[in-house]
Amino acid sequence: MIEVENLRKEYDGLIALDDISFKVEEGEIFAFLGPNGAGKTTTINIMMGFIYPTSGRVRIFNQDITKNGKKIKKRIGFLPEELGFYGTLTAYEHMDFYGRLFGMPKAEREERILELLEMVGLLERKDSKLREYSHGMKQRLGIAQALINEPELLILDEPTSGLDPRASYEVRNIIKELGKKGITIFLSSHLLYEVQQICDTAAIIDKGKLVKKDSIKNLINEIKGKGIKVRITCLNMNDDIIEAIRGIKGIQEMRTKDNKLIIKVASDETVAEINSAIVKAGGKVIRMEELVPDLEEVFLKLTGRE
Amino acid sequence: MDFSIILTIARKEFYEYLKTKRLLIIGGLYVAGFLLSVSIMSYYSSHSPNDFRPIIANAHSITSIFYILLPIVLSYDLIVRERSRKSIYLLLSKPVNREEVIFGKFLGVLSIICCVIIPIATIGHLITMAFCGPAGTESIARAYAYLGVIILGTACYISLSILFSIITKSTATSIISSLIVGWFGLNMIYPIYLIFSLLAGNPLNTTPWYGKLAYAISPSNDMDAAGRILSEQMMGRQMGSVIPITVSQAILALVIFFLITFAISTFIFRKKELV
Repeated sequence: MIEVENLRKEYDGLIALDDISFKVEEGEIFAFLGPNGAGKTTTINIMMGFIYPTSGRVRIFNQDITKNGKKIKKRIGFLPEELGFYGTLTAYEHMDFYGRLFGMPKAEREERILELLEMVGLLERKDSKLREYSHGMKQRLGIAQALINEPELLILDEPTSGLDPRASYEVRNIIKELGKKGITIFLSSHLLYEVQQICDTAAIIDKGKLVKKDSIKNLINEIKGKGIKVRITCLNMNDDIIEAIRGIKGIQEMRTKDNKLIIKVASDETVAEINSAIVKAGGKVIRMEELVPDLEEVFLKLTGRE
Repeated sequence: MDFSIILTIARKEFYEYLKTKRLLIIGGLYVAGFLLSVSIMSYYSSHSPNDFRPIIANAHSITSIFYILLPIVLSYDLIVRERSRKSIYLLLSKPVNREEVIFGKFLGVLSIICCVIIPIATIGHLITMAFCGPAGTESIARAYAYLGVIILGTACYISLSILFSIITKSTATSIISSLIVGWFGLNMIYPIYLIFSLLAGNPLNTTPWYGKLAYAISPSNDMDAAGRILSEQMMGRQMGSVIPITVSQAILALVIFFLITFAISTFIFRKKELV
């Protein structure tokens, strides 16, 4: 559905994007991850035709965005990172304006607007001017306007940026529901927790370069495959216990804090050995839990920020 | 280009402007100025139908500053404001060409200016006729023809302001540039030419092509020159003796000015990176 090929963007000699290539398949909920300034918004701006690539190209629905932008945009919904509305217009007037731009007939437009405003919980405030809206309400209206044309592809740039936890939760739920309906979603975010909850696949970008692209499951498994991380809480923690554990083969990494040990081991057998060693050294294991790596860990590892 | 999209954008601009204070202030001053001058001149005229044309021509001349101010004040921020409030990203994420945005915005401002100028001019005509008796068909036709030239002139200033609103990065810079160039800069070229001409000892009764060009480059001058559609006498002066170009040259100059500034605006906006 989206093909980004050897995309490069330079600003006055500064490389913002360096030969980025990736594909997004139909029906995928695709996360585009990266720290602030990594090049996520630049990529999206090129995808939307707001800026032009120095070299490379973006194809959406098998068409070049620079040549067939208008055709492509008929099938896209877009939520920019910074939402700009017209303060003097109401939510309904905004939706009506955007609906008209898609050439929607009046009856269809009205029905769709009311349906979407209800979905994002703004139906009761449809006649309020946008200058009276909170940031969260504007963000929800942003999602509604992105859906006015029943898009096949939804491009969301930091959709929960600046929202309070409750509003973020609501927006995430809306995105999840849209994903279930089969809409392809391209989600740019630096909030890894959010991405892990919503997306199937992720591409990680850093300093303008694509670091990795895989399913989120594979990305996590890749890290996990290199060992098991356990957190052990024990009574009577002493130096003998620590020394005894250090002597066990297969210990890759060990950190201690108060009565807690965080140990990275090669296999399950090593965990059993650790348990015995603690008991032999006079300690008592109260709790032992596996620390499953999350996307944040994957991200930090891949971007060298660990 | 899709005309329905252009109309949608124009319609949005039109209704947005109806709610702005600047239209109320500048438009209100224009309405007051035009109607007051028409009423006073009609009252003190000889109350003959022959007075119709000079009264209307002079009223337009007195309020001519608004034909520069109104378009500039309404359009200086058409693009730069869309960029500063980031609404341009939502607009251009829809199936809309950048050319359609420019055309739509231009049409929106032009239609609101027409909605102010045409009814007020019509009321002015009626007031004059109430004092001076019914004007002939030719006089009325000429009055509306001149109104058409004025609207063409305002279109030139809208186009110029759109150009500045595309190339500048802030609304303040845009309005300052538009006013300096549109109001002051373009109008200064002909006086500068006259000064140099005098210093060089050239005769003032004939104007070479570059002198005419120096005059015609200002839409405001062209609107003045086209005033002869209505009356050869304006503000007590014989127009033919002080204006170096003909009515048709003035109209041609306005059309060329509009086409050039509009084409440049469209070209620059199409190439512009919206970051």
